[in-house]
Amino acid sequence: MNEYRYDNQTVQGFILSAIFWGVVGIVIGLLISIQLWAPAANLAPWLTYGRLRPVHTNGLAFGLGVGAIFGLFYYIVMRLCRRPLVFPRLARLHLWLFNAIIAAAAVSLLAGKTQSLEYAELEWPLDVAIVVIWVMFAVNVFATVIKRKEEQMYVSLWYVLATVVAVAILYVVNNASVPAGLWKSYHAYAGVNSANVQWWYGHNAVGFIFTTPILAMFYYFLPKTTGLPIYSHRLSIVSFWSLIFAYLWTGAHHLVYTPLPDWIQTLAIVFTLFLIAPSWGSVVNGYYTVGADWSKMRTNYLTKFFVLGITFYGLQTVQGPTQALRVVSQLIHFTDWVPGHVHMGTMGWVTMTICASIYYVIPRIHGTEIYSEKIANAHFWLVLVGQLLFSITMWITGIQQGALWKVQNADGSLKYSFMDGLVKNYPYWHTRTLAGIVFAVGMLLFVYNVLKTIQKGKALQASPPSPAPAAA
Amino acid sequence: MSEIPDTAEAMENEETAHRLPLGWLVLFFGLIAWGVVYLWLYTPALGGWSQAGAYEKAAQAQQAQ
Amino acid sequence: MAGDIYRKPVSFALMAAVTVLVGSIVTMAYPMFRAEMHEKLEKLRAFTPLELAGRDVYQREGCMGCHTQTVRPLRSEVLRYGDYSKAGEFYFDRPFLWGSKRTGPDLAREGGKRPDAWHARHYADPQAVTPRSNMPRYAFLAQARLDPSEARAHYRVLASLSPKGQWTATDADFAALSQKTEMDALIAYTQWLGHAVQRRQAAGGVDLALANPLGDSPRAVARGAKVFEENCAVCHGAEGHGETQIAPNLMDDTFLGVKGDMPDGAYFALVTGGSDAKAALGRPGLPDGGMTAFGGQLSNDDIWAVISWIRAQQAHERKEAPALEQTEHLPGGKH
Repeated sequence: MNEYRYDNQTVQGFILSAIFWGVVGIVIGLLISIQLWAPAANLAPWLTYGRLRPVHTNGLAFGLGVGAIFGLFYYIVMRLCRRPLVFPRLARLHLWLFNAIIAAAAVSLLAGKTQSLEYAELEWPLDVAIVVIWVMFAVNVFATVIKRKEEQMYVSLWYVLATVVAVAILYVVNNASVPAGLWKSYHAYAGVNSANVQWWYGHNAVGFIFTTPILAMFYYFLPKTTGLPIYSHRLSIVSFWSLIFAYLWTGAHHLVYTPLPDWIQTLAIVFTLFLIAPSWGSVVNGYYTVGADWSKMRTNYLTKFFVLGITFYGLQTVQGPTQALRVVSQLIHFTDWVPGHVHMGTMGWVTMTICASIYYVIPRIHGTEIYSEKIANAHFWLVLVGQLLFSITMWITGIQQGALWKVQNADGSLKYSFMDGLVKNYPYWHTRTLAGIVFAVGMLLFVYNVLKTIQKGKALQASPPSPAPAAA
Repeated sequence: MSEIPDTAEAMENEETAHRLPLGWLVLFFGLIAWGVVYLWLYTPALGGWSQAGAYEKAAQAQQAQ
Repeated sequence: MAGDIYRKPVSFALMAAVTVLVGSIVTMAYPMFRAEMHEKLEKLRAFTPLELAGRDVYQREGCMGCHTQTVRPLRSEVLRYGDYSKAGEFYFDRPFLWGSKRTGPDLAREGGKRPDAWHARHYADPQAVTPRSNMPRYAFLAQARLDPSEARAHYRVLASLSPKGQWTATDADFAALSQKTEMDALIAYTQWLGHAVQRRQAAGGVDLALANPLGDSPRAVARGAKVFEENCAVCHGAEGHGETQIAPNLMDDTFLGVKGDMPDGAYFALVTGGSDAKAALGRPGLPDGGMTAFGGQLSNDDIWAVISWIRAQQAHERKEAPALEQTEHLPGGKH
């Protein structure tokens, strides 16, 4: 069926790189979760919580997340355009540069080289390198889409193109800075303005790295794995345009009750609440799609990954907007509720969908079946339980923290000192580490399963006569 | 397992392609309506509310006690 | 339907770009041209080279991962930290360092709250000061000397981004940095925070005639002992004898560096209002001393209870004093 020479090796290279950085990011996540309740675990200056936290977030957002996005986008684009990449060698170079950049990023963050902008910590030399590889990526994607063999662009391609365009704009604007040395720069914007630009970027990094690319995967791999076509084309259209329109207004919901002008905060809150509609457009579309045959949940082991993934996306996109409301924000902002929220999205929706997509792609590349559905099922339940335990624990302690900070005595003075609130987190932080371990074990099963599948595929290829699909 | 071919036509259900669920439409327009009201109420130049003003009010109310 | 766009990738990408730019322009780009995004408080001054070096350390160590620098206009927040943050306080901040998580307390009002020596000890070993704190140790900062040429390069870049006359360091200021450590710098930056905003005033001003409503009741003294242990002993010592360079002795007969005690009302004003009450009392105290304002953090009753305890303790020590002198004059005593 594949009469084209798809560049599967680059796709697989990105997937394996993503997995590697994912494991690194998760291990660091476990370490910093321990540091929260055991300060002695800050082993050396370059292994302190303050320096490791951005390694964790960058490692997973850009190493695992963007690595998987690159690989799976190349895969999706080639299939939906029914032709190989226009510049396969450029893609190969892209892969190597990507890994070099992530490695340099990790080292520079450990050394404390940071712009102190969340999800834009990397200093300017790395920013320049990232712009270069993003352009390489964009050139390949656009060239391939323009020269496609399939006239109609399917929904996933819309999300791919929107991601490529939006991330470029966001990244360049927020990383504008004035160098003060090879590894030091100061933001081009100051004070309130700096905050506004950063969170316009910060929230849309969530939008265009943790949302639109994952939706591209969801819209492609859900029909492919289940054999069920997407329910409503019109719902896809309305959801897509309203999602990418509304997202860019919402960054200031991270700055509620700060000195940022009230009108910007209010606009952000309004559009954040509105985002429930386009987000749930995709959720509803997904549910109705699988609703055509719910037995797929039992008969096809990947269906539950996608259904649970989109379910957590649905929960995430109700919880997030709720948090933007001033009355909720004043209770939970700055507390552990927020990491609880973020991890439902990343561990529940993003990782779940990426893993399922990889489970689909890897066997196809090697013309074989998954090594073990049983291990995949164990992986599913472990990451599900780990993530729920993590999120729920953080929500509880977050509400408690926020409430203790607010309690006043009858005479108007505060009832609890800051330390009173802090020490009450400890039991919950222990539980969070435990939840992280459960999740990590699940992810290790996933890694094992993928590696075994590749091994199986290679063995198959080595033993003739199998009509293995061409690999580049 | 029968796999869907990689064409836009095959990936989407033709029968239901034009449907927009009613509940979702209600959500969509309901949020827009709510947004207009909230925007009016909490924009200083329109509804007169400001976070600094709200704070002063709360502080005075407490001092009056 | 305008279905054509789904067949033309370039047009599609352009339309997507326009779609994402609308909100970006209204909420991000347009505000840049409004004065409200570039306010500067009258009293706000740029960083000294030492303070800027400290800010660089703050960035490098990722302090914003656990500490915010913005006090929200909420009652409980103003009570805990001080006046809520103003846009004009951040004129020199590139980037802003407001943070997004309060694993530790907000630091926007930290400047002037505590003396330098307290910070030195706390940064080196937080658990020695606050036993159940989860903050990492930063003792290594005291070993690292500053590099004047690097500090100058950083300073010059920031100075070039502000109107002339805001950044006034001289060559001598940079040269002096070679004698300073990163710890000194971080402490200087910490004390810079919030300097442009009036700190908390003693609740209801200073009223020296105010009498302690709890008097010397044993219950008040017992309560005061507990509050003192939890809030004051960190600096003033378990028995109120003070700590060199950190906090004065509360048991001797000097008050804020001047001989002669003051009435309960002065104690109350000082505990509620912190360092800012010193001027009102007409006594300077330690030159760079920092007394935290506990008004709003502790209830008035708790503050009075602490004063009851201090008074009881002072009376107790006066009684003990003659006995102490006798032991000191025992044969073999070196003192």
